[in-house]
Amino acid sequence: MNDKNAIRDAVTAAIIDINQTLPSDRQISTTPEAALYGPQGMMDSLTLTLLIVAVEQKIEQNFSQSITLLDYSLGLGENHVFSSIDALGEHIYSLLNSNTHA
Amino acid sequence: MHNQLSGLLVSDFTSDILKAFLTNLKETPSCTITQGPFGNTIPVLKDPAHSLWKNSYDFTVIWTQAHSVIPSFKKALEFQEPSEEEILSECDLFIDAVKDAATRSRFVFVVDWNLPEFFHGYGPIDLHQGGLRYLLLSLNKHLADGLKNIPNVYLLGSEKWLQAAGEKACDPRLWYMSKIPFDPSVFKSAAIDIKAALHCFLGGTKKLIIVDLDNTLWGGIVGDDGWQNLKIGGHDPQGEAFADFQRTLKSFHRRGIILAIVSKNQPEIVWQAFEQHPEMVLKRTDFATWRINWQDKVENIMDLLKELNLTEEAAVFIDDNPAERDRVQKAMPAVLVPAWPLNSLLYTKTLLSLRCFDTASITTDDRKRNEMYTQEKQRTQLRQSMQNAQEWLASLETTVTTAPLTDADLPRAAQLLNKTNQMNLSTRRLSEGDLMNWGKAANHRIWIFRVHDKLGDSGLTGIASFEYSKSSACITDFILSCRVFGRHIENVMIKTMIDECQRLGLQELKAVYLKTDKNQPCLEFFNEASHFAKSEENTFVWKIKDKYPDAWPIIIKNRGTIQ
Repeated sequence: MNDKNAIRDAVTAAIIDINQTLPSDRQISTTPEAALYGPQGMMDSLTLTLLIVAVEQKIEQNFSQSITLLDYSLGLGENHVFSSIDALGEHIYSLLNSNTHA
Repeated sequence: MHNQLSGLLVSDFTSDILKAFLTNLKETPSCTITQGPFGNTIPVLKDPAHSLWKNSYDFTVIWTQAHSVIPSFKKALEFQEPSEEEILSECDLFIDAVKDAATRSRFVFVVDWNLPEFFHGYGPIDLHQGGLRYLLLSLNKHLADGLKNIPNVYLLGSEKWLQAAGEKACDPRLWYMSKIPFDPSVFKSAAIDIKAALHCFLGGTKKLIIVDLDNTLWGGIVGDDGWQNLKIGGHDPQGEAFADFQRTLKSFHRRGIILAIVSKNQPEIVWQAFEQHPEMVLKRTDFATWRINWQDKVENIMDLLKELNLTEEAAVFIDDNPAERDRVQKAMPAVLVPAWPLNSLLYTKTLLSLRCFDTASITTDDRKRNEMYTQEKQRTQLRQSMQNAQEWLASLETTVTTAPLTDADLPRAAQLLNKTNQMNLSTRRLSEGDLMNWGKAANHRIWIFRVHDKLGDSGLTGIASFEYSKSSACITDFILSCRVFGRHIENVMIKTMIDECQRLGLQELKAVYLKTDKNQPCLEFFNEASHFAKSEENTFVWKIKDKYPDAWPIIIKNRGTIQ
């Protein structure tokens, strides 16, 4: 069973990395409920791409498991798992545990 | 120290992240960035009518992927075995495109080509002739050779950026989703390097390293432990690391960085250690000057900078003691005080990682700089032994050689133009190419000045230029290295310009002082020693019909004349 806090830490670390590429007025919040991508979010699609890859890398590094965050058939707009850190964390948690149980 | 610079990115991938780092990183200079269109690199570079070139840029970054701009290399990646000649001839097209772009930008950075670490090629024979990495080496060598004679083009090596990023340097996910070939950390390293280079090109290169001694240059405290027990050299990790650190400082000294000591110690004990310790790499003669006493280090550094005629911006201070570093950093914020590791095994790495010594060129004068400062010390000693300044100047037997700027002197002249802050009338900064082009205009004149005396050769230390129209000339550059201030070289430079004004039938020579934070010495010269009349605030005039006083006791030699 993977720890949800450790997953959230990995996502937060990825956001901190991505924030280095963003100007001060476009920084992504690291609070769990803050909106990421979508109508309320601060991210454009390029930033979301960076976040997806950074989070996948952190998960591979910290959990030694490979995950695919994006359902490529849906496109970015339909992937609601990126609405907040919490939602993304939950999604990663289910992916990791489905991997474990498979 | 600089205004905001404008930059253009030309790449065959999404360059938004590089743009973001160049824009957002706090390192100077600050930049505003324009991105070229995705792909079409060679047509964009070659076409002067392209909309991108309607603006002028301080710098252009050209970052491409070899398989994108060299179609035959793409074939090689697919093991179609194109000939090396075919690949290199396509590389020539790219080089020509860069040459075209170099005429439209002050500085051009071209990033060399690489392959992702997971690209295995032919395995163990990949570096043999015909292998992919062999071809890549040939391509990069050909590129470097093709660009080497373009003075404002700099080829940047990307390998260290990729190495620093490690395994994640090239993540195919970023490429497939956003056409980004590298991890953001690669772009961050690149942006830091580009900014450091720009900062240095515009006069920010550090010239002086001031080092502490105990636990900085050697392990232990010489006053307590005795020179025999210092950790330096030998079969000991710390001793080896301190010896390597000294070797590295010595290598900086060889390339023209001045070394100095500021240490709380007894001088005789320190010099005994330098002279008698068999493993000591640095010698007393490697240091241009020193302050070894028990006074405050800030006072010592200020005094030392005054002696060397350098500003705080020119100096780096290295000390193992965080309290001393903090004291110096707070009192002298322009001095670079790098965070220094606790572990002496990391000293050399920390020193080598500093980007503040970047330079646009290494000239013979750079390599001789320490020797020149030693000679300067002898001059000062001679001055102190003389009754008055005129007697001292006469004893130096100074010769100034004046000459119009030529290609041979261009690298050193551009370096002096871009580095000199104090005796600088207008603080104009130009690339080698721009400086030469400026000098070619019919109504522009530009000279270089070399200084030699009985103690040695100070090299190319002065630049003067003017622009004229109708009856008047206005000085554009009046630049003199701090090493030769106050020896009437300034008056020789003025006299040279006045002679040319006479030849051209002009009536006056004007100097307009443009104030910066650092060029007060130039204003003092024009106020007190130039013999010019002050016509209005910061403007000085000499009437050509008047005889300009001789710059006695200097011997002037003219080498070549302006056509």
